[in-house]
Amino acid sequence: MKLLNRSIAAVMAAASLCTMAAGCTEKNAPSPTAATNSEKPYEGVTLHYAVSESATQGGETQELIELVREKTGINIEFTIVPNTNAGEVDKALVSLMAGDELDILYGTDSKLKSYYSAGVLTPLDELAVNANYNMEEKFGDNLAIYSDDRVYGLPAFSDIWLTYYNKKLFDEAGLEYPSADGWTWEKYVETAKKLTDASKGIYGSFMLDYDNYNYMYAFQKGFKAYNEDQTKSNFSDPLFKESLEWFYGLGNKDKIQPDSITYASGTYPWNSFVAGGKMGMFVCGGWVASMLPDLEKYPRDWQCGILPMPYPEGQEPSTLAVTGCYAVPTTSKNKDAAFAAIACMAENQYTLGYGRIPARVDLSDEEITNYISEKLVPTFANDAITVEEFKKAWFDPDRKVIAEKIIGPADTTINQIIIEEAQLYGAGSKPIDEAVSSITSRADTAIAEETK
Amino acid sequence: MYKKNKVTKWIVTIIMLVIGVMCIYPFIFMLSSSFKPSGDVLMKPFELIPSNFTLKNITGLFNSEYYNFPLWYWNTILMTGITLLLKLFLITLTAYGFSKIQFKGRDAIFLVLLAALMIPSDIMILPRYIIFKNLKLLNTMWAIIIPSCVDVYFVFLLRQSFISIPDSISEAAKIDGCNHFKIYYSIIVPLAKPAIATMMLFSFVWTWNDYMSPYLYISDIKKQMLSVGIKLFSSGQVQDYGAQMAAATLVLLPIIVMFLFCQRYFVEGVTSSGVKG
Repeated sequence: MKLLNRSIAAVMAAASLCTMAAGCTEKNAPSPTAATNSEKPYEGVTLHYAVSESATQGGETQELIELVREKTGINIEFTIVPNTNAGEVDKALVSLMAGDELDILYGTDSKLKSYYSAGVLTPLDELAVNANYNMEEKFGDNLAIYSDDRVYGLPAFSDIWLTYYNKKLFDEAGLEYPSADGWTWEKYVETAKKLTDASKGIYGSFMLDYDNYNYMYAFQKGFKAYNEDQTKSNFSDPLFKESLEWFYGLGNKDKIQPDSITYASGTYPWNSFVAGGKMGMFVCGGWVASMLPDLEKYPRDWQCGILPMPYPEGQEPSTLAVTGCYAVPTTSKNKDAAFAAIACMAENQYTLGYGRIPARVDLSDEEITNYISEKLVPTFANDAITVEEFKKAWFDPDRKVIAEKIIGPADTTINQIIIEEAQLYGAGSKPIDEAVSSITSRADTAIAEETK
Repeated sequence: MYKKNKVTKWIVTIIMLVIGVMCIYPFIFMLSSSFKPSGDVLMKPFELIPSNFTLKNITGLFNSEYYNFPLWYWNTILMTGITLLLKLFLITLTAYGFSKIQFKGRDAIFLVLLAALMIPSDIMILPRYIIFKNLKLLNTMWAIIIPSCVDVYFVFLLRQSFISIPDSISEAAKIDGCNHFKIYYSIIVPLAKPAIATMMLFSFVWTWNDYMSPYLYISDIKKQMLSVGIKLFSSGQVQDYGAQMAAATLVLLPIIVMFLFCQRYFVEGVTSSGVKG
């Protein structure tokens, strides 16, 4: 009996080893075709890309996977995951933690950080060495690097904040279009005051009730949300209080934009700038630009101008930005092929002509000018935005780029706390000092809970 | 004195009326907005009866190339129907077992079952996902149906109701030659109808409105349920308020109809069990 058991165990062990070996060969090695084609070593390999249903319907995603197939020979299949809002359970994360095989993920650098914290992202450094690929040279500081100083995401594009302005309202108010040079918040407020005409329902300024509007001014003045070792928050810094007072003052005191309660009531949704035509200027992310060419959904009889994001007087010019990155999950069984695919996506996505701003730092001035004149200018032809205007707003190498959101321990919770408490201050229900003190103590508790 | 009482009554009535209007306002807003073009939804002042009346929001739901609203509706009806049928059978039978059959360790097993109520649902997400994955149930409606069918809360509720039926009735049936299934089917279930109806009504509302389970366990948009489907109207760059409101109205419709017909059971359920919808 013992002998029989041993024999069975030996046979099973041998079978397992064979299966494992077969699995390794089948899954990881390039296909036979690839062996004969050094240009496309992963030809015929199929990868799984976690993407939302709506993204799969978009032309950009379809063209992107076609481009990867053309350049690398890699086939990409979609694994549908629903979009997730802040505070909701992230299905992609649940799926990865359950060990589902996925090869490619997309996310902003802050979104990818939550995957990194859950331990489901593959560091790309080794894969880049294997592929003889210089990530630093291509993407510089735009790479998604987290606390262990390793690279976890290749950036495909930057969403850089801009000032959008309604030229018709400027004409009606008899104002000259503002200049990109020295475009400060002080000039912005002064211009907005001249544009505002309450009798016609016109506001000179428009912003949204997103978390980062509360601290953008502080960020531009050098505010840091955490102390040095990230064990406590830094909201007791007077810069944060000043930022809150300044932002809510625009609506409540200066009356150049809807006040806090009006925003909270949902009277002015996120697309009000393009939909209503009654907002003089709008400071927001580059994604707003994607609505401008769509005159069918947003018909308008006015042209839109663009400027860089304003900055506080006396500070160096700066802008908020967020990068969209591609990453390789730990559950990928084809990590080298996945790296080849995401490198191709990150390098080339902007060339598809969807108004993307490349996150590459290796592009020459000539390449940028060509891209603007061949792709961006025709896309925004209706608004007659010039190459020079695009360059100043989106491609200014001297402008300091600041991450648009707080990134660090308990960041999602902290952003939610800021929205809750700051809106109470904005609505006049809480004095500023009390709101700041609540934010500080609640944020410290959240950090302690996450890091314990 | 009489006059004073009348004035007080009037004041209370007016206050209640104001509170009632405030409570019903979101519903009226949704209903009215379903028949307005998207651009008019947030227009001030609010128009109760749309000046630009349109049925496009509703017809658009059924003719959309991208969103298969009728299919989501059918999926949800099918899933809710199967859940209710299975639940009716499994929960009542389990409750019968725990209330009317004496067996060794009955109370201990019941306590273990009750302990499951104490586990926060968020903790169950990952283990459940892994179990469904291993059972190859992901992306099927069974991943939503199965957990709903073994709802310990209603086992507890029905057990309490069955216990309140005197044992002498089942004992008399036994003497007359009934087996357990016959007693369950012919005596206990008919006598516990109000409690069972309450369970069915609340289960219907909870299953119909369940968002988290379809969101987590179903990926294929063709197999999706209404609760997740209508969220698609508000995601991405397109936010069509008219379509959202029309979709929400249609999703609510079966619940409203159900409520109108079964109001008595809802109220009884709330008063007798403390369950709130």
